Amino acid sequence: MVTVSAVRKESADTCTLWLEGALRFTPGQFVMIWLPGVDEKPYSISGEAPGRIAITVRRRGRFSSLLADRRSGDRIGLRGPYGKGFSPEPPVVIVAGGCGIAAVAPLKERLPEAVLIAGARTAEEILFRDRFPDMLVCTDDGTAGYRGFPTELLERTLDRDTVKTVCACGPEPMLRAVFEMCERRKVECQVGLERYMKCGIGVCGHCSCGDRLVCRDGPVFDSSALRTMADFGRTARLKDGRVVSIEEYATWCSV
Amino acid sequence: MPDLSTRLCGIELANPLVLASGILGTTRALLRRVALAGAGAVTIKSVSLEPRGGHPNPTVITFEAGMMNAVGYSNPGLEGALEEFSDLSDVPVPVIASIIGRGPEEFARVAERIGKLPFAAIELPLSCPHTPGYGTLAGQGTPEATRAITRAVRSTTDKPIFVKVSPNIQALCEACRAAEEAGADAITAVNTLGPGMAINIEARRPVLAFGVGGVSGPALRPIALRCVYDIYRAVRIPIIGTGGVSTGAHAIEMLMAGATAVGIGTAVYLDGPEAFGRIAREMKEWMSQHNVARVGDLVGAVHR
Repeated sequence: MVTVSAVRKESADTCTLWLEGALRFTPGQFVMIWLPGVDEKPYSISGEAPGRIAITVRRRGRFSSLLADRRSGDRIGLRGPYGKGFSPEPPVVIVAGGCGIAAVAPLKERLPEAVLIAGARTAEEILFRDRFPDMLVCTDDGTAGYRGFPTELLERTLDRDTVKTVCACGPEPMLRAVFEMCERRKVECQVGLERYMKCGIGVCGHCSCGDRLVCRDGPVFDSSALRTMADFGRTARLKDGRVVSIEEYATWCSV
Repeated sequence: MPDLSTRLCGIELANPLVLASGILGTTRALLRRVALAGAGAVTIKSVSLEPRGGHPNPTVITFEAGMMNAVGYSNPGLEGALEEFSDLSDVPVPVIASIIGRGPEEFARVAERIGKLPFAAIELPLSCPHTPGYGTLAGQGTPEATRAITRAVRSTTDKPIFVKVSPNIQALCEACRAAEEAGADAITAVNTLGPGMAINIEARRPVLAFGVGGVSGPALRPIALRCVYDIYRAVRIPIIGTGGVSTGAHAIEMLMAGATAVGIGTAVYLDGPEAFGRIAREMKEWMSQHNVARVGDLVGAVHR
């Protein structure tokens, strides 16, 4: 169990919990967060400070709402960090969609020169604007920054700059589009995926994508792995293991 | 060069190592990966008639002597499984189905459909310790229930039937004999032990959401070995010895106790699927050093 040392509101439905305790991790790795008597879920590590790490929580279902209700001094269960994180060769462009920015925020902090492109549906869903004043913002509705998708800003950046690696996290259709753009332009790509997890340690097989396990082989996969993963950007599994489209999976996750 | 190939109920195996049910057996792609990593055969995650979400998390935890799980048989149900496993041609080793039911009739319904797919055998875990309605929590491990369920499945399929038994039951050998008499072709020994429990002393609650879970890994290995030893003396059908095996020496010990094939489960946590290739290599090295030509020569060695 770890102590929640501070809670910071990021948007109407999203907050960051700072957790006491030093943890060596690679950006992109995740921890399993346990609320006794409720459930246990994976969360990306979204920040680091001496003796502390952070997770960022969007209120979606019962678990995330209860987690977001934690206050300074509360204790929650934590195991990890698990999985493989980002290992980009610079120069780097980071692309974040929606709350996917949580997983890449520590990467941007460790690579201050990296270009960060952050997209969301609307202005109030853009997280961490104070934290990353230099980030390129875009929104679907044009309420902040460029009106359009992060892939459009990525394309412009790739036209303009020499880029060795693109790192991305966010909705999977966006990740698929980023990956395909990188393939066309022969740029290395690393993306952080999300799947419903049970064990978190590579034995139950529930979080598979292709023949890879998101919990153990990922959650960050590079271009060579993504090329072999037919499910990437297309299908995912519900809690009972039924295969559904990535869109249906996203809807299921949000309730 | 020592020969690891063997036959199990007429099924040709390149080596005796079998992926145990419930580990990575959710998809064709994962089965293929485990096969390519060196398994001689692979078993799918158990399939029930209807989809099951399983227990809430935490469902799998580790401790100093292995693992405890209470996954609760999450699976996409018969229809989902038929879709996933109808074509197994890209899995280069025999694939064993695992099916569950709440009684003989339900087992038979699942077996009838699953039996039409290209599986090499059908395993019946009558021994899960953490899912109400199934396994030991439903009394499926008694000799009477074992006989009834095995018979019901036997009437639906000509495929080899493996009955997976619990290390907990008092009447272990009687249950295995009942399975044999009812037409089972092999015994998988054993399922997880217990259930056991872990408590988070700060939260003052069990760690597993279900409260208890089946114990596997090193804690289970000596018990599994003794079960295989006893069952070998009780029945004539072959045994898949399963429980805590993570090295070549462990696998050879299982063979000597009486197993024809060796199940691998929790070792995947330590090494990933590569555990299979490593264990097979270690078996070969030991056999070379001790002038054992064929793996079959080791089966039941301790009884001779």
